[in-house]
Amino acid sequence: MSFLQPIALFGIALAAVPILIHLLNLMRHRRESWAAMRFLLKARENSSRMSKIRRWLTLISRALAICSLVFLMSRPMASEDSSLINFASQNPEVVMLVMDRSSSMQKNLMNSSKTMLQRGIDEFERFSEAWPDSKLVIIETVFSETIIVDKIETISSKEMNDFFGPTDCGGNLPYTINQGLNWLENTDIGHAQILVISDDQKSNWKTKENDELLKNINDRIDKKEGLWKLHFLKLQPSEVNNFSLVCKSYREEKDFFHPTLLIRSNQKDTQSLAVKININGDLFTIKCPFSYPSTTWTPAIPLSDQPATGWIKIALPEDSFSHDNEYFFTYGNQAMLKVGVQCKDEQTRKFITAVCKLDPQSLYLNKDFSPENKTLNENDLLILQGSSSPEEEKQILKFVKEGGRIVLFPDFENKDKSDTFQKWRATEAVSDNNFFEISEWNRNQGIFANTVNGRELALPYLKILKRNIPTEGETLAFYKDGASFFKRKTIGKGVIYSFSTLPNKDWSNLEEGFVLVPVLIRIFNESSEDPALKFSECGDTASLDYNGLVPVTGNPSQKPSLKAGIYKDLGKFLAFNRKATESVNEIFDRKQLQETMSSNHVLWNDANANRLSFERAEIWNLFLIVMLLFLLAESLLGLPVINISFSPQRL
Amino acid sequence: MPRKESNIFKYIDERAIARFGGNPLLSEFPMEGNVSGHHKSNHKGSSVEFAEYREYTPGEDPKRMDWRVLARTDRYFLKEFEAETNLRSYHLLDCSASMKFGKPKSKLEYAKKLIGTLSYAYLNQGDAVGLSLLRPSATEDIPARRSPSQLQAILHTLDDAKAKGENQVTDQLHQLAESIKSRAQIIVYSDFLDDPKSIADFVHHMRDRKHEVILFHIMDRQEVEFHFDRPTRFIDLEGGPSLLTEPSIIRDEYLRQMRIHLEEIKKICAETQSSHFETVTDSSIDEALKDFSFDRTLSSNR
Repeated sequence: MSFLQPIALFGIALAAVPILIHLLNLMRHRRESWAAMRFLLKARENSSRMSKIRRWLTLISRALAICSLVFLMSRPMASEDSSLINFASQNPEVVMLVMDRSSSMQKNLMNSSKTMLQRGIDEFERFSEAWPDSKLVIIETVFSETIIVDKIETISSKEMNDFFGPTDCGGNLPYTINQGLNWLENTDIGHAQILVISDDQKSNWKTKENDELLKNINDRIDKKEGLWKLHFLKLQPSEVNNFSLVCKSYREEKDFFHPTLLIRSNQKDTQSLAVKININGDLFTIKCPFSYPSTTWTPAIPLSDQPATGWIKIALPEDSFSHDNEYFFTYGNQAMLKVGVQCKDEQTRKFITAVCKLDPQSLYLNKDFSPENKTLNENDLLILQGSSSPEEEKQILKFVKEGGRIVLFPDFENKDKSDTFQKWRATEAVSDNNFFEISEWNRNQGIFANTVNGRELALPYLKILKRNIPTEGETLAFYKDGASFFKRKTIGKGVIYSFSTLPNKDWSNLEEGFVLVPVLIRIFNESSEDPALKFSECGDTASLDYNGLVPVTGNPSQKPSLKAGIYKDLGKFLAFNRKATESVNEIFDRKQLQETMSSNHVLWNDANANRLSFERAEIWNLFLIVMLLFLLAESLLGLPVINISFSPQRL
Repeated sequence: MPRKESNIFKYIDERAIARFGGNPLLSEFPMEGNVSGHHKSNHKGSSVEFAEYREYTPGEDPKRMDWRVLARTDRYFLKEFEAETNLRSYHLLDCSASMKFGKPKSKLEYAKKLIGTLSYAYLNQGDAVGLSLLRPSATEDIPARRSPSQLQAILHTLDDAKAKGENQVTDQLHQLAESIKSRAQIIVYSDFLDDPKSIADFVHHMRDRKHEVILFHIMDRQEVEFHFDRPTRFIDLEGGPSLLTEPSIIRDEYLRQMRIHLEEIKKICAETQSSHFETVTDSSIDEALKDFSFDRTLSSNR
């Protein structure tokens, strides 16, 4: 039992009032002259034990009636705790909510019209009601950062939707719980009550992978010996009609876009689904033959009348849970690696242009780009040779710091060298019939790794006549004399690759391509592996890093880290989709988790549609009844045992 | 010293006189009066009420011989009639301090009214009325007389009577029992808070002396019901120890003790063929005398 107004408990001192009144009455007695003293004296002598007991019982009844009134005014709450009464000293400093904010939490709770997330918040409201003076702290699975709220209503307010609202993300509950415990530990919280609300979806718990972490959490809770209590609340989704859509892969042809879609349903039915296709805002419908339980469908979406780049939204018909009915794509060159080339040396430019044109499907060449025309940020990789103006260098440096990559070749002429991106030594040239030879490089991995069939790159066959050694960064290939042939350097989020020679006959035989082509292709591949350029899911690290993207679909204020949709960044479309694992409705076995987390201070609850699990009804009515009973007892005890009334009569 | 004439008649209750004035107040036992009256005498005499036939003894007055019986039976019989005499009614008023109790009227004041009213009634029917004020130290007696001036003497004495001293009047009662020579009606007005044994002693003593004993047991409503709502220190009017108590707690036991006491007095009266009338000071005098008058009137038919 706990109290909503524990301060009222001080009123318990009022229980002494009847006793004080009794004593005061004795002190402030009236004086009465009396004739029939013999009866009085005898009455006092013979005053029975029962009378004395009745007297004390009356006094106790009064005191207890006051106590009941005080308890009533303290607004007692029923508690599931084993102890009868939890006094204020046991109040936790912090009541923490660990919120599973994954997309699946948007499903309705079984037999309820509320989503599981809403219900979880309601449950937390009830949960925290028992400790009105405690600090409310919330940690959710998307950002895993603690947020302190001043009142419970804040969680449900629209302004806080970004922090507590629904998402299209996945989650990692054990990690988030651990982060919550870390916060409690770092802020020296002695006494805390923690509520974890989750639908126990396997993909968000990964109990096998997180086994060690869960054990660690259990140990930490156990060590606190009840000062920290962890409550797990399982929310079970409803099993009403639901279709879900996931893309397995897609293929772009000249005039068509072919996504391979996996449609699942819990409806044992075969039907034709009217799938809505939205291409850059143009809507049309394609029929999809569906048969239970899942259908893989590859529609051909025509792009002939559409711009070269754009976006596609595929949506299944509305059902009970529409969050998993949509999928977003982009098409056109934004999926390609955009390479900007700016070379002063003509031979170098020709050679690099030729290499970039080797795979036109995956690489888009932005030849002779200029930072001034503001197309810089549309590129993913820049290949630079020769000096740039200080203004250009400034913009390129910003591009690199924000995650861009550049490949540097030395300046053809050894003058006006800039060290903005790399510091170069003076140009060296060999004497006749001699070459700079390359002897060492990492053959196992990286840009100079052996080929797929195990062959070494032909670095020793390079005949380098001139070189300009870059000095900053990690050397990936060495000359025989120990100087760097190739360096890799990071600035901010970006990477700078530096060659020490040029694909120019006067400098080397790099132009023959047996080394430079595979190395550049590998640099292209490495740049393509940047997750920001891949097919993205909400809540991924890449989505969290994106700031200032403009949503094309959905709410104007939505963010890719939370909501699926098409976003635009400097003319480039980006598609962010719901976490694919969220469509796999696999629930893990709680018994397994209970075995791992066997601490007595870890408590397990299941949400019920009809009643809130932590609903602690105010039990003032109990105390009202108790008070009335005591008052009744007091009244009955005050009644005479036999009602004696004297009536004069003769013998 | 001239006596106050102003308000002594306040002790005669007019309503009671109006209600019972026409009814004879007769004694239950034969009385020894010196003049003819309404009450049975222990002697035979001339009256209209036939008593018995008795065989004639030579020397007796032949005028009372029943000649008709002689004619029929040839025997001498005397026809005897009940003698009727007056009675001497002694009113004994307890003037101990406990009689001071009572609101708005004290028990003493109430008793005075009873005495005044009854004295008037008895004197009115030709009986002699006497008064004794019972005090611990001494008694103040007015011998029984049937003269009209007796009423004034009684009323003046009542007017002067004050309640004080301890309730030790049983000695005086014993003395009175001895001092009243011939059979008389003795009416005691008291709250009878004495030990029942001493009450029994004097009632027996009175009865042994052939007196008719009537006890008017006067109580106050508060004594009877004992309703107090807060702790009270009870101070004994007769100078005994005081008692601080919570009346609501001992009320039941108090009432039980009072009931026992009353029952004992009633038992004494039943044993001695005495009369006991309980009355509370807030009841009217005519109401208090209703039973008394009814009993006395009934006696004439026995």
